[in-house]
Amino acid sequence: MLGTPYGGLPGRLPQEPLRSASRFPPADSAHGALDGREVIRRPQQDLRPPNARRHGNHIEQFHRVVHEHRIFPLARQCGDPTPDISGKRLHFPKRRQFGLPIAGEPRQRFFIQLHVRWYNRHANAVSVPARHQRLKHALRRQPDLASHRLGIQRRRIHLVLSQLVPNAKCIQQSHCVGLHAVQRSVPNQDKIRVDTTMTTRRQILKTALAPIVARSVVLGQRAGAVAPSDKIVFGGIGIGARGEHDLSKLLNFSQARFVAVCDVRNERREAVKSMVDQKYGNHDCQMYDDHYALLARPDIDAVLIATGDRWHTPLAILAAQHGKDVYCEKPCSMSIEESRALADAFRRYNRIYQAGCQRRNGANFQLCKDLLKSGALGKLQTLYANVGPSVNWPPLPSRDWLAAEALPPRELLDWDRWLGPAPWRPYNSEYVRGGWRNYYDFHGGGILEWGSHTVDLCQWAAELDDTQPVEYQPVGANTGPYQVLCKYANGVNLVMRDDGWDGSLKTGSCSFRIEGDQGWVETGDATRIECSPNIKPLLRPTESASLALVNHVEDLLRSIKTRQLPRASAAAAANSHIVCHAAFIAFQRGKKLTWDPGKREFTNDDIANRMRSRALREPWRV
Amino acid sequence: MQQKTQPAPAPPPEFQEGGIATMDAAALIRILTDAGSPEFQKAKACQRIGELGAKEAVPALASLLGNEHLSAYARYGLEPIADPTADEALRAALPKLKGNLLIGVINSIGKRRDAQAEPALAKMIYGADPYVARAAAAALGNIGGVSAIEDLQAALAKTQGMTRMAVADAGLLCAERLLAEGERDRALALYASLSAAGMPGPARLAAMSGIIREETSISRPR
Repeated sequence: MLGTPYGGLPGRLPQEPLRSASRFPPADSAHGALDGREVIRRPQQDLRPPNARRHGNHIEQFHRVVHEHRIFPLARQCGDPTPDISGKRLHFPKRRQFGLPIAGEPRQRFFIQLHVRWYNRHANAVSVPARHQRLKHALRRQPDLASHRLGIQRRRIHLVLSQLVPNAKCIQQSHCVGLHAVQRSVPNQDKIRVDTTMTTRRQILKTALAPIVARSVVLGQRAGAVAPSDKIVFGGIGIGARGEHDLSKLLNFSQARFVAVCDVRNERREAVKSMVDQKYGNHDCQMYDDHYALLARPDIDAVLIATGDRWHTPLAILAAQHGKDVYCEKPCSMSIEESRALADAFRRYNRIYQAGCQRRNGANFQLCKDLLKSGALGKLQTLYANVGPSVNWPPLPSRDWLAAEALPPRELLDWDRWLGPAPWRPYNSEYVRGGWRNYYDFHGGGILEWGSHTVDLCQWAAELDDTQPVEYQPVGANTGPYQVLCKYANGVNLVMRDDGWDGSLKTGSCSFRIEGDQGWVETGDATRIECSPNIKPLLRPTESASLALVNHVEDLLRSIKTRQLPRASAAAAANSHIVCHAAFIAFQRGKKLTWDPGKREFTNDDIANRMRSRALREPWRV
Repeated sequence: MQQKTQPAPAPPPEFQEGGIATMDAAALIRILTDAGSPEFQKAKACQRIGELGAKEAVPALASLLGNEHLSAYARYGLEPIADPTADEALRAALPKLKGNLLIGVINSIGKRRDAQAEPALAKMIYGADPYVARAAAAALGNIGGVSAIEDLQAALAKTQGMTRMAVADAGLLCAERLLAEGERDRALALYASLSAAGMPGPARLAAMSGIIREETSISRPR
């Protein structure tokens, strides 16, 4: 669990950890409250029959899982099927159905009806190697899909449900519930049901693991150790300076294993290989200059993409099409069209996507969000996203070209692949050294560069991850100071500004500010939180903002295992990037634009609508 | 997060956009049709035309589709032009090009969803160049519609490897489009065919996921 990196909040603020926790009360709670007074409850005698006592833990675990995973009865269809464990005897209604509301996409609810088989009877009756053998045997009978994944990593099995249902928090504990949502004939199934009938492990292996799946936790896992088969295998594409920073955090997680790097620059390939090999004490990291070769490796589960911005969306979509999960640096897209394509692809393929918007997992940013959510700030009025001083990255990048230089040998640099989807231009080494930023064909200016962090924070904090503002009014000049004044349909303002970057409040880079009608709060990379006087009593020390990236990578790893959406999912990132692109276009047009979030088009400017998309250089596409 | 520490070198005068950013369509077309115009000016003129959406520039843009350096810029100009002449220009370029330039034109046709290009694209799926075949499949997926789906389903049985993967991906896109258009039964049938044994793994899982999403949706007909 992510835990709570800050000390909790008093009064009106929620005491929940950062992640929504189990609703199920602690099973061993001996304390209770009565009329505001603390009372001590006497331990109750266990009146359950011997069989129930023996399996009590399993049953309570099941009950907890039912609550944690929000498996609620579909009352209209099946009445109340919740197992009764409060009385003297166990009662599991046979073949009752459960509905599993899934919050995969924001505000979108899917009701999944599953076949859950409760097999606690023989949970510990079979040894791990024997279970493993049976599992392999069962999987061999799935020559198509099973062998696709398991030919190389037979022990890496994924719960089919976790692969198929976005954000479905699967029940993976082998001793808890055997679960298999989809049977071989899914297309012919009218519905997938959950039942609570007793069944044996053998039955489960025979019938339930049909089209596949399940991480090796199903096989049993020793506490504290990560089996090689349970590691998430990563490859990396375009690991430059920023990517190396990401990678350094990833390598510290024992659950992850980095095995391959792809880059168009020989120098970077070798640098990353050296870094990885040194960390692992071997020479196993493979180098590629063609990303298709890396993506074709079946043992790679996820890829770290840290190329230039132009490559982010095409590579991420290619990775999804190859069945890989993705961590991708920001900005995630070069246009509104790419943003949409990105979200659509990851929804279609049910892959996990974590955008490099790591501040969503920063404790100081989280505390500001919690203050808003708790109502301490009152009604939300205005969000401020600092987009950096225009002296660094002005809102309008240059459309010029640098002078042509002699092209280096392809073995050292593949210039054609370096350009990738960006339009052709003559080679200049300045681009490759990082100077590609601030050129329109490669970059979205300060608004995209920093807005992809701070606008993203605003959308997240205000829980507006599924929409965009409807108005964009540019103010100021390209040389700064400048602002883009935006307004959401609910009347909340969003201000992108370049004059608040580490300003008088010294909240640091990538700062954002929330203003309600009863108070305000601002924080940034300096970790410190500034606020109105009435909010100060509610502040608590938080962990350093620099730990946000570590939390963010951890969030990704957890999401890959649980198939829950990470904090910076493709859909959330797409929406916040669309806001930035719309503001960028408004600044280019130099006029107020109105935007329809539903139709995803500007309603008052045809030229702006034509700027929603950029043609990609052949042969690339999204 | 990266901070710029040194000023970037200044672009030479011949590579500065200058007044092109404010030119009207007629002036931009003159740049494109003047054989003596530098490559840089033509590139910037194409991008500017794309923003203006000037349909009178279609012939000038089409003439650059075979230019290795400027083809992407020409499509940059053509793709946003909301006029059938742009579709005709792209279709007309199909038999004249090969390799990456052909793929670029196919991608633009797919992006514009030009249904009239379907027969030509369907044939390309079985061509000798696998990269062209994949681009054609992707374009058909973008175009969607009854005949495109039929072409893709036929191709599913006749292709293999990466091309089959592209065909399956296009099929998924078509299924989503069918659902959006209310053609639920046909979408489910397409998903079912894509989730059959032997389909590429990621696409098969995506198809199963599509079925689950639709069958368990609260808006599902009951």
